[in-house]
Amino acid sequence: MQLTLSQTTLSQTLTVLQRAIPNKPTLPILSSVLLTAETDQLIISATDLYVGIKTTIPCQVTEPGSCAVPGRVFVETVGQLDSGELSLLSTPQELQIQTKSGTTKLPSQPAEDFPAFPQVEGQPLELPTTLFEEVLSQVAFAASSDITRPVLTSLLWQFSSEGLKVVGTDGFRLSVWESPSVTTSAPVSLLLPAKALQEVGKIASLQKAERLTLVVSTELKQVMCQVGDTSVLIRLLDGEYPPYQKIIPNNITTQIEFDTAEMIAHLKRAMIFARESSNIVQWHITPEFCTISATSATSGTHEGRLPITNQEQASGEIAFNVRYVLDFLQACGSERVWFGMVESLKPAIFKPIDKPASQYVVMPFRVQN
Amino acid sequence: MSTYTFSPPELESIWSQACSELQQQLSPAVFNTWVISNPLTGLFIDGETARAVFTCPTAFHATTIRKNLSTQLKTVLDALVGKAVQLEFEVGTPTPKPPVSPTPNQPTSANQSAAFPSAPAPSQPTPTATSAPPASTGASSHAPTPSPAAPTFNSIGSLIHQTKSGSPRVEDLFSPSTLQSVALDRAVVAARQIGLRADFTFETFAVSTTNEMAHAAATAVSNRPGTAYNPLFLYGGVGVGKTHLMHAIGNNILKNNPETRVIYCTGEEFTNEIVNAIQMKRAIKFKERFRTAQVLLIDDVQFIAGKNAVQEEFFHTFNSLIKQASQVVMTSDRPPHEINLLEDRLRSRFEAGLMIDIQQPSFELRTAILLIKASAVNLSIPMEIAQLIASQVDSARKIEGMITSIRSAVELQKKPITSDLVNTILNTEIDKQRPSLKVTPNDVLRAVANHYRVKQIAIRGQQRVAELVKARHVAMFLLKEDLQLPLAEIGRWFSGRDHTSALHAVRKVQKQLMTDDVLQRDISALRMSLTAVSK
Repeated sequence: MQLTLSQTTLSQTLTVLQRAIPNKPTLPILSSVLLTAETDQLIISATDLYVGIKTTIPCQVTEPGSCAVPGRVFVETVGQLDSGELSLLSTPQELQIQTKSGTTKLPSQPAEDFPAFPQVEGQPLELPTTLFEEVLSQVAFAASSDITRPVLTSLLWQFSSEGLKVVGTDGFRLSVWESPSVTTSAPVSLLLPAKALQEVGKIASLQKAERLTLVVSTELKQVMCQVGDTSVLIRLLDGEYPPYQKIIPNNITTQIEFDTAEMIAHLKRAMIFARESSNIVQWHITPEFCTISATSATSGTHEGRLPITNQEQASGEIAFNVRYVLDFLQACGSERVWFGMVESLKPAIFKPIDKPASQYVVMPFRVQN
Repeated sequence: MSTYTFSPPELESIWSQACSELQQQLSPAVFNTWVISNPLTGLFIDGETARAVFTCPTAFHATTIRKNLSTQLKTVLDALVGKAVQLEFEVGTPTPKPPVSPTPNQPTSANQSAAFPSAPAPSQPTPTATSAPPASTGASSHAPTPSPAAPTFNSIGSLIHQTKSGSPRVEDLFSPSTLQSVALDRAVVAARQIGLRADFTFETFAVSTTNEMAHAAATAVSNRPGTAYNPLFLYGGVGVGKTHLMHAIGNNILKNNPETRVIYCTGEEFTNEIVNAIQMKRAIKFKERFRTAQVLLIDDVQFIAGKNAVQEEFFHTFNSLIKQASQVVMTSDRPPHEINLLEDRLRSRFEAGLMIDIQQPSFELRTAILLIKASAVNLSIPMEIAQLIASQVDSARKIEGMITSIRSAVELQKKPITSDLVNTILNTEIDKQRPSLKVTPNDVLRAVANHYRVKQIAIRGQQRVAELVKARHVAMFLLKEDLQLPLAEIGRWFSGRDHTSALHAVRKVQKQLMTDDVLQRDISALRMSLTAVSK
């Protein structure tokens, strides 16, 4: 294998790719990246067998060929090289990286030892990147990171003729995002790992691609996300998603509207005093105000008063893990937020005024006084 | 040619032999990643050939094994099975195997740590949502995780936050108690949207001999909609509780599953909706809405009789609902065969289901209904007063009116509940409630004669056979009470009788009405048919 290409392009591509390189894999070859030179392009792949990234760089290939080299060292070395042309030359045992200022030799392994990427074929689903990023910003934070409940680490994507619906939950809060702009003729329901999707999101913003394509193979339980020159292979999760529709309250008795930025400021102040007590912040809703309070056993107490719009003049009392509320308010991207509750111990619901398609349900705290 | 399928124990023994052979040929890392985590999950022998199925955790595994390890796997399996084995690779989760593992390695942990370096051991107790008991004790439920990004597992795998028992907690969103309480709320909202009255439930329905069949059938239908009795046809006079039962069916179905698509409308609303849909050219929408219902409740279905387009649409809706086992419940003021101008095909379909007659409530039932309804509005009525009202008022709906009147008298005018008060209200109520019938005395005589199946001429005649006398008295009663004819004129209608005979008849019927259920039913049936011909 012999080829030349620009250091900048290669280095940028490798930053994208390195997210798929596992740290200490049980199978040593997985810590490598696979380089494959074809007629006029270099294909670089990395995988931990659950997520795989494959990206293509157009370049001048003198001699096609392939090899696998240690991933981290390769990424780091290329990143430190001077910008300008560099050439890659492989021998059976090593890969040489040659620049004007020097030569680096990395041990290489035969390409055959590197895991083969599955061929994912199916009906492609196209999404605008902006929409994909919006979905992630609205929903992904609600997914769980607790891998003992794999289903909750994923986001539920429901495509149908009526639109797209994406749901994320960790069992304590739930975020639902809907849009009628993406439709499919037949309903498709997918469970995609939230973490892997966030990687795709980062790649999409790095690549500045306008659209991304999802190709789903239910038989292989794989989804291929194609963003520009990069394709990311993600495993589809199996399992039953919790009956999320059943816990969205609709018998709202108290509903208010408030300014998002002001509420965030109030909550952050209250959080200082909530840290010791599991981040509990209490809301006391009256016809004109929402009182936000937190109590610390040692550091003191805080009480803030936020003017609200309360149409039905109903009052209410509820306590939250302030992080759950902040997560949503900071992500929602709406100046004002609508909040509805039924009772102190029943799930409460938030909706951004500007984006009625989003809903966020939080389970309140049971405070034992 | 029959296929032999290996049983799980056989499969496992072959796989463990294969594993021990492969272990010697391959490096431990390769063996763990490509062999152990992709177990043999099916082996079939078809004559001379055999087929082996491996279940791989991801498509990466499947593709790579097929490419790199097929030869080794095939050689080993060929030798063990003694036939040429075809290899197949599926992606999926292998069904959990018994803990007897052929190797000391734990396959899952080897895998997962490759994917998630921070993964805890797979023996981690899983705090699942569904198994968490309703919050009453501290240790068993999830405590709040301060930062969702930072898992609170320690290296041993126990939950750190369990030590904080007794501190405030967040209940799991999907715990059974949350699901249930939200479901109840949703049922209430759904019922309100559908137009069901929240107070019309089975719990508030008083049961007695006149309506116990209907109550039992309605309960059965609401617990197993579409399968118990389909369609269910309830009929009976005014205020016997048809609508109450129908609402109770709807409410109970929603309570069991708030997502059920229930449609409740009256025959009149159904008619109006069709007319509207046709006018607005939205007939398709209308059809879609009604034909996808899981439960259709039609009150006063007799209203659609005589309207051809409506009957046509109802017929098709009805058929498609019954075909997809959606429950249909109808009420009417009379049985299908008595609904004039009802198409025969509809009639026969109504009659194909369960038809139940709800009779006028008996005196005891009326008393019970009165007491239930009074207690629902926090009004305590003494028993003798309740009986007094029940003896005077013949339908449950009027009882409701009575209670409202008494309540306003008690609450607004601060009057005590006495028999005087009740009597005053009763007099005004009865006058107010019954609009005088615009019928001729001949209509009354015809109706009475038809009802008792006697000749009009005989009623007006001189014969004193018991059933004739009864019919004659009822006719006189109606002429006096409903047509307000002078007694002397009533006498003249009956072969020139004296006004005192008329007075006697009226008084006798009035007295009997208090206690005689059959007579009450006769009178209200007659009034109903007279209302029908009233101008």
